[in-house]
Amino acid sequence: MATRKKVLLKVIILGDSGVGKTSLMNQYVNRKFSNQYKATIGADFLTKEVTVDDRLVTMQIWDTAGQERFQSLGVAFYRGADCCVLVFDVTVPRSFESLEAWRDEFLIQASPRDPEHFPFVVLGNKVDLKDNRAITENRAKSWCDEKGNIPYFETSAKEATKVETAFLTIARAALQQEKDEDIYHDFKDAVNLDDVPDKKQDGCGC
Amino acid sequence: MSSSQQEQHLADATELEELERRLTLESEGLDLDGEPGAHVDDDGEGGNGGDGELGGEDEDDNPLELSKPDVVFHMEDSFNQHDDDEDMDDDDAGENDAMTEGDRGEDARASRGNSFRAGEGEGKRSRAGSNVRRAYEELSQGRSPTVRSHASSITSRHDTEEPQRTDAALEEASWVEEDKHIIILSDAGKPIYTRHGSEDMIVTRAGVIQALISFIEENYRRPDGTHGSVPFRQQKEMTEDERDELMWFKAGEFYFVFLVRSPLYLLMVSKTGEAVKHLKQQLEYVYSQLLSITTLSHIQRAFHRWSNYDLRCHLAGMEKFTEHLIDRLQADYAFFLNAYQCLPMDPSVRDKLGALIQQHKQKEVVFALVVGNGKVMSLMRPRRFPLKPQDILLMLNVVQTPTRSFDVGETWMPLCLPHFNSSGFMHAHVTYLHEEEGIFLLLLSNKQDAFKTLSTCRNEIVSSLADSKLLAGVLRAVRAESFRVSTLKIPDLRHFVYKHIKTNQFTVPALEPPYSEPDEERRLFCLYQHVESQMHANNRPVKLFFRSSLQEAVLGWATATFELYAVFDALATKQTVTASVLALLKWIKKSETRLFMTSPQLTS
Ligand SMILES: Nc1nc2c(ncn2[C@@H]2O[C@H](COP(=O)(O)OP(=O)(O)OP(=O)(O)O)[C@@H](O)[C@H]2O)c(=O)[nH]1
Ligand SMILES: [Mg+2]
Repeated sequence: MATRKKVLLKVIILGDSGVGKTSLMNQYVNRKFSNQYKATIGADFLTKEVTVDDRLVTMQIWDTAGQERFQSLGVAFYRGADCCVLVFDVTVPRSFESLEAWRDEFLIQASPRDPEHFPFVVLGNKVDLKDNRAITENRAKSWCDEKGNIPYFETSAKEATKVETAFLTIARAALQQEKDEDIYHDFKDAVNLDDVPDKKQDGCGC
Repeated sequence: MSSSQQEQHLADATELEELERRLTLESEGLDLDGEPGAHVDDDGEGGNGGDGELGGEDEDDNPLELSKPDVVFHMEDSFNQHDDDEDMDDDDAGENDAMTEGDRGEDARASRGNSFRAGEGEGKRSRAGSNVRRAYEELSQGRSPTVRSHASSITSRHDTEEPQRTDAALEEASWVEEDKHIIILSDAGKPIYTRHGSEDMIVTRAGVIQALISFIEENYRRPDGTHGSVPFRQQKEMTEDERDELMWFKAGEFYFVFLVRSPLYLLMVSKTGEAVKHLKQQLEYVYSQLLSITTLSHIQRAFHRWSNYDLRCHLAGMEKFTEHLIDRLQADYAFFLNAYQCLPMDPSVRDKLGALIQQHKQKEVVFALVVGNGKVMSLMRPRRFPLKPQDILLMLNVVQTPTRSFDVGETWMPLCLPHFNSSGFMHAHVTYLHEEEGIFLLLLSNKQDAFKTLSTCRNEIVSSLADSKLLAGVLRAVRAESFRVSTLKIPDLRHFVYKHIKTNQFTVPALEPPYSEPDEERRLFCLYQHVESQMHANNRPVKLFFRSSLQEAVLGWATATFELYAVFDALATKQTVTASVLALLKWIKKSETRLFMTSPQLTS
């Protein structure tokens, strides 16, 4: 391999349609925002390199479709995620109420080893729309606390509020998931000759 | 070769039949088990319409299609950048929103849009599960791509953005030009290995690759009744083979071939013109190589435990073996023949060498292999554990990989032989049996702590060999040049490859003009590979293949005991070819015990 290994983190973003998942990702990676809504179909992938506490990491961000009819790729998307970002729209109560279902869906599909401690981050998006606000910060926070102190951020993809900070926290949370691989690997998996099936009959001469 | 040059087919059916009849009849006298009534290549040519040039950019004349594809994927420009930013930019075009503060006025992205569309072949899959079907319909109507992927090499540090973009673009351009990519991902879509370029370049594509594979995976019910990750009730039964059949498509000049070995996905993207069958086979070898340094049980256990597991750390330091293997895939007949080469030598010397090793063998030694000139000189194994050629090739790869580590004395390395036992490591003691002539001795034990014993055992073998008359015979074999076809004096025969089915060994003479030129050598390789794929095509295997072009006439012949691939002078008549093939077989028969190791050294 040509390059040294960087840590690779798989981050998936979930939430109801229209809450701004794609917008947040675009703001974070490309520093762009569009008012136009284009539903994500299937999934989008973006990557971004970041330095987190002196470690260079590549974030592989998987943005999924909020609309159920566009979710076509199933468990493959959830598998092996290092962090899951749950997004709701602070102006749409339903989207907040859905968080629970998204979280459960993730835990079922991804079935992480230690679901209690799997890192989630919750983003309450569109805080720039102050007049239409329907979910208070306190309400969101208490839900997060209840679910095991999930970090919570109030973001605006439009005005780039808290987007950087939120993703940095996401990267950090994902990094926790990385374990010390070397502990695990040893060469103790020896062949037990008594377990090897007799292969005499399979016609191979040598 | 210009298209005006027509191939001369010796190949209307009757002529071919006659050739075959003669070969069969006359070879019976040679006791070669040539099968009477062998199938005739009845479409007569098996050849390329128009020019018969092979390899390189050549269109394969076997239209490399699935017998009955259910699903056909078209990947549009996925691996090149023409559709750059398509989906992002029409956002931009259709709006007049001001850029936000974060924007720097300059689009520093090096992002590319990758999209794929899945089109439906025969419409047979429409009963597949609802989600996939819906997406599928959307896609097949060409509406929107389901999966997009954008790369971005923006870093958080702004000072380096400008030059980085240029580098990335250049790197990307040359990456796309490579004629054979091999990529390994975990089924979570995380990169494990890429032959070319940096992992960054596959990270963004990983999602697309994973989406393609999971699409098929989820529509597949295994013979044991389990299925892809989504339990679709109306799912069509698909066997593993059928699923594997689906796992390739062609886009432009590239073949995309997938191999699913959960929890790993392997992908080959090739414009070498090799048959899909061979590309798949090569992926199998890459997979075996990966297992040889990790073991299947480790991979399964680790990914079962952590689906986000990063396998890369175990491959560190082992890349050179993998890279060497990959480079050889396209140059060594061994891989498409699934056979290995023996060093031709006096059978009594081979026997004595085997006996000498056996004499000093300790009970810890399970396998012993002596390798000279990259070919097997001697093999010792327990009677009940025959070795598959694939495992032997992995062992040969270890000693053929240029590395200085064998120079320092003894190497002790874990090596899993996946076809023997994929769940555990063997431990290989690798040393020179004779350094100047590059003869290697590999002693394999299943005991991790057997190093000392094997080391002692090796020293005894070396000193006992040095004292014996046997050494001279062994050195003679290594120093001898490969045999040449020209010395066989067989009319019009230029070169051949002979696979001995019973032992899974093959023999091949030295390359002589015109094939000693690198380009010609490559062309000859492709030619044999092509004939092999024609003869073993799933839908219409043939036992005899013959075609002549302006450059040469090529023959392929498969019987129960051997496979022969041979090239003759372009103007050779079929009488000459018949006579020459028979003469060659006669010579091989006579030299059989010299050319092949017909009986390995067996231990109980
Ligand atoms: N005012 C405001 N609008 C936003 C913000 N974020 C997103 N939007 C708008 O909300 C709409 C939906 O945004 P998307 O990012 O496409 O939503 P999504 O979650 O990706 O939706 P799906 O792809 O259907 O799941 C778009 O019109 C955006 O312009 C924000 O922070 N503030
Ligand atoms: Mg979206």
